[in-house]
Amino acid sequence: MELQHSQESLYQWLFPDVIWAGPIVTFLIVVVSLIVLACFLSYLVCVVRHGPFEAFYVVAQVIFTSVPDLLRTSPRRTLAMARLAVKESIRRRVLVVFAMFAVLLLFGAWFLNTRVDDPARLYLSFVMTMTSYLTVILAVFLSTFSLPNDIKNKTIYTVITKPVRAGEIILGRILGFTFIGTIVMVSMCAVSYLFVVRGLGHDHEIALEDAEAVLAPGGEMTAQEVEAAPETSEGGGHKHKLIRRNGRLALDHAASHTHRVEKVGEGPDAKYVVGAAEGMLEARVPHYGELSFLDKATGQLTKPTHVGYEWEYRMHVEGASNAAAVWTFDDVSPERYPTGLPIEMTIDVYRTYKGDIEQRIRGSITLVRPGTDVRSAPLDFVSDEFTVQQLLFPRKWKLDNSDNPVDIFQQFVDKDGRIEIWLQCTEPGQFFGAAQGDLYLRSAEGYFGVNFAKAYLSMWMQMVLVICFGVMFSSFLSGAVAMLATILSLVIGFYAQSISDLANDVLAGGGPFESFIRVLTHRSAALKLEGPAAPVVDFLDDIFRFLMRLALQVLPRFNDFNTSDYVAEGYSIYGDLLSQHFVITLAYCFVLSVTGYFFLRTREIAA
Amino acid sequence: MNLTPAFIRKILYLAAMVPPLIVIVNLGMPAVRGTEGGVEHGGHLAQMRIDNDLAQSNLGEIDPAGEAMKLSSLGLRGVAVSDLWLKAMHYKKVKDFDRLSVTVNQLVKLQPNFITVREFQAHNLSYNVSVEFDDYRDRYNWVTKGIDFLMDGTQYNRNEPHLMGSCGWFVSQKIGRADEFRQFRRLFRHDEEFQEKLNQYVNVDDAKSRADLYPDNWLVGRLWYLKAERIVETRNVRTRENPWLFYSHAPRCLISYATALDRDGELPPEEVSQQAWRDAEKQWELYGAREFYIRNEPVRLNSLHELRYRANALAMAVDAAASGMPEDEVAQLRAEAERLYAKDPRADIVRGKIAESYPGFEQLRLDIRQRRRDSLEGEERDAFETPAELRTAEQRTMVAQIQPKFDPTPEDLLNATDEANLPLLAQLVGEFRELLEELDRAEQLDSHSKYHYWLVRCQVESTEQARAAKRHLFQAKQLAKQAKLEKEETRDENGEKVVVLGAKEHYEAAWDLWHDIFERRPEMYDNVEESQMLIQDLIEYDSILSKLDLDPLPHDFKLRGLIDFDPELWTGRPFLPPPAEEAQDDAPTKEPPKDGSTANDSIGSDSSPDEAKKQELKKDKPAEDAPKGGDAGTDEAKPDEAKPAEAKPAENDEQKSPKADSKAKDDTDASTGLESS
Repeated sequence: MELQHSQESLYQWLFPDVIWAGPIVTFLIVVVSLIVLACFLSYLVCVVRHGPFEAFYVVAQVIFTSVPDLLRTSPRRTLAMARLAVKESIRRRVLVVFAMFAVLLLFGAWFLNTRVDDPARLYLSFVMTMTSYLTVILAVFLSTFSLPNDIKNKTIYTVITKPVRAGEIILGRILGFTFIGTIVMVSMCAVSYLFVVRGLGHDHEIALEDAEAVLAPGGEMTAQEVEAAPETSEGGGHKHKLIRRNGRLALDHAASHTHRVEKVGEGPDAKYVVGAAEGMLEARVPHYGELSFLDKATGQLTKPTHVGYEWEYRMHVEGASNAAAVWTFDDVSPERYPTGLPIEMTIDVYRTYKGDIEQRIRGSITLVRPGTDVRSAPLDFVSDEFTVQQLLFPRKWKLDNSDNPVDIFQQFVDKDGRIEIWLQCTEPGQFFGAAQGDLYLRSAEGYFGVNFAKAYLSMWMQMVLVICFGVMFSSFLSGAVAMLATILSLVIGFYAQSISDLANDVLAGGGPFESFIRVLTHRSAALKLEGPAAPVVDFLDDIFRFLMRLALQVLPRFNDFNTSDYVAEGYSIYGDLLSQHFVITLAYCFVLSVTGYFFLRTREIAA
Repeated sequence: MNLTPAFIRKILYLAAMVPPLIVIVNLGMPAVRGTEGGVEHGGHLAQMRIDNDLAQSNLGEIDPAGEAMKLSSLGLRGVAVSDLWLKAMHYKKVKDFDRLSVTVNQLVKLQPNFITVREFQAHNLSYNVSVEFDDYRDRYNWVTKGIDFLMDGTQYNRNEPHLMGSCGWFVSQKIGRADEFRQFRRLFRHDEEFQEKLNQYVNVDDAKSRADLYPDNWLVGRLWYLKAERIVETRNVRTRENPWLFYSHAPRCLISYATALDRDGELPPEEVSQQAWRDAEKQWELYGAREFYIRNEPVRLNSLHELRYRANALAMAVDAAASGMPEDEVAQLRAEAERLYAKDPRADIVRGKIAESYPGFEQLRLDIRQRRRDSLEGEERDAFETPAELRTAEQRTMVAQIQPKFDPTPEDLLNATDEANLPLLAQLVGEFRELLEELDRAEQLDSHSKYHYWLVRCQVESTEQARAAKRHLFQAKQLAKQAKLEKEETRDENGEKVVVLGAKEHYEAAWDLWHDIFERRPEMYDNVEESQMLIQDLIEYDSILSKLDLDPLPHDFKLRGLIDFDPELWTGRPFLPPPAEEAQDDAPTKEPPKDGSTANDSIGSDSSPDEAKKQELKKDKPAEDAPKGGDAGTDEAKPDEAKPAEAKPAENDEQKSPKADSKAKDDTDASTGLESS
């Protein structure tokens, strides 16, 4: 998983170092541009109807009267509208969606195979995807058909003949549908949580003679011994192998988790008890550092080595050299980590030669006081790719070239609370690859349930956005067209990255017109389009790309609201991320409500 | 009823809808199962599907989940597939392999009968994703995922032998030939979960190794190939591969199984290994008895020997007829030659014996050669008159180029013979041409399938001599691990002096045995790529010599021929150079196949012992017909020895290598002696 390792705070996000690139400036530019564009288009429409001079007055009047109109929005009337929307929704049997969800969960378990590498991820992605799809569909249908149907059936007269403002009708509908959506989503969240926890809950048993057979030889187990090691009983569709680690009995990683094993009792009453799953349904709170790389020859800061992977997320350090990946952590203190530094890492291994196939690559972790040569003796480890490796750097550890243990916080943490952690590969010709989020200090343990709820909160915000879009579109379009417009916004928002690549000419094959010609002529994307039509096609594509870029600026990236990866990977969703989502949602709600207000107000409902 | 404009409009719309509806129904009405069990034909498209066996129910099982997905895509299956494909590529790029696996499974649910997609993505999982993992157990896990993915496809495509062949390929080759083959094979043997899955498609109990009674990947792979063969034979489906290749997989799996038993690290029990090789030989022979079609004509691989000696015997009959021998004597000579060849395929020996029984049977041929040789002038004559060992490089090139031209073609013989001999000779030449055609087809097939190489290999590997050689190698390696490199003298319990052999001595014993095997069965040189393990052992032996401060291997080391086939494989120390007097006249020698001479080696060859010298003085032949080496036309050749150094001018100053021999021999085969006309 590519982790959002920067974890920027809400303030940093709103006011970055380069303020022009921040969301506030972008928001203001887009809003002002839309206002200017809307005024201009309204003026043009009015010119046709009223002539150029009167049109100016009409537009100005609408703008100036709208400000007090909006300011006089009554919460009481808005809530009354919201209540109406809720009643209408219930009348339209929207809760059937929840029943559908329940049915899906009931039968879903039949088709979810727990014998996969990561069942937690499978379960979580299933429930979250289902929730997301169903709530989005619910939101689209509720929000887009309500107002047009009222107008079509003329039931809206019963409302607009009363002193209700257009803004209150829009806002009331948004609130009402959101309320209904919230009820559905909370129910789904609760049921999903139970489904996941019950579906993944499992237990294993260890036969005493197996445990003793594993422990008897002593020393570290070879790969072949691990292969032939006895297993626990089956639970949750998998078994764990019994392994000997530091003279104690442990279980290997299976289905992306392991269990702690405790020996209970002595003599004939002794038995080994398997604890709760570790690495599954967790909410780790990581403390990330800044990553830099050291040169293999000089040991000075340098550009990292690229081993040729297409994906440049991870960079590599060469083994048995001065090369190192260095993470600098702030705010490290004994109060925060009383027992030592709990390091967790996911390291990529790149072999330049086969070596011993049955042996994994070895590496080391070293603590260094920033800006000095004071460093600890290395803590050696054996790589374990594609799993989160846990290492505890104990509070007392030796200095390099010394046997005397020292307190790591006193020796390696500087006065600003910073410490460097160096990762090195110790085998010549082999490489370790790492990205910034690949090594962190596990600063706390969150609650899985809370993390699960946070992910649903993100989805809830996504649903609110869809409702706002739907209501806004329904204020001036017919139901079906409003639905299509909302779905189009959703599609653009969900495929924002692909569309952005298309808009920025990153993808091979050109824009839509060029691609169309290529399809017709069976011309490969690698060949340049030639001929007299090529400049025309380029020009048309440029216009299309401009429109796409515009659409991307205006529409929200719905995928950013998907935080299910955090939950599935066992990382706590940090508060600032939710705050960012909340700010985005609020901004869109405000803009879309106001836009809807103007559309509804200027619409000739009686016609 | 009011005929309002709106009502009339509706009627018109309905009327307009009727014609396209009729067309649609006629085209697209689905076929349904009739009341009496048969299929009632639906629309035209449904009929075409039935006629071409393309209906889903004809292709394999119907997957409800896949059908549901197809329906829910609302006709946008293509778009959904493209999206999933892009996602799969993205997940592979960002190493999110779990999601890749899920995505490709969704992909094939939408396209269950698109075999290429399944094979491509299975290859992705088994080959490309597996190597991304550092732990060999994870690698194995992904290899099996790819196989599982393929096997799943066979349910929905039961008439696709290629898909089953791919399952066989993955199970046998990917597990059995990966860098980690020892680990993979070991994991496979004990992977009960995967074996359970395999059991749903093939009976794994039939694929248990005799060595440890666990399923062996090569034997399981063979079951898949056999399953594919059954589909082809029972359902009249065509294979995508050439049939000779398609049918070679299953018996080749047995050969690979026998090879793998010896390579797994521990020597299997003698009887198990021998039986494995014998089973392989038996199945390989059955494969050789199959009839394949080359250039629309039937050929059997096991007919090659017979064709060769028949062609050689016929070539002698042509010579005899051209020399004026009466018809009945020609027939006798031919029968005698065929009999002799069946006993001993060495062309030179047979020709010698025939020459003894029928003196002068090839008089015309020898005369033509002599005339051509005598007609040489100037530098060319000088080159031929200079003794071979004193020739310059230029002269050797010249000799190599001109010499093959001396040999007369059948047309030359027809032109040169007396009128009276013409009818018989023309008939024999015609017959000979047809036989050569047939032989050419068989040789072409043999060169692709390496049938005879593998047959000999199976025969050799089960011999006591080969077993002994392997035992020595195994012991040598074990001793090398224990750092017991040289023999040691110790005393036994009774105080007697005992010499305990070290790794070096065991290696040397193995080399003696292998050399003997290669000498006796030179066909083993035909596919030396398969002897890479032996070359690795030679490298280890060289490193032991190095550790013992001993000289590198001598330039004429007895297995040098093996290394010279592909010198790049040799990573040991350079060979000791030859002593000065030997070095003068190039080439350490590798003896080429002695008794593996082809029909063409002898067809028109001058290698009869008592003719060898005469043949040096033979005449020219068109340049484009010149065989590039081998026995044919090499008048310097000893009866049982080729001189590729002369045959290939470009290699004149290089060491003569078996590879060159083989190539030269192949080229000769291709030009087929008398065929040069």
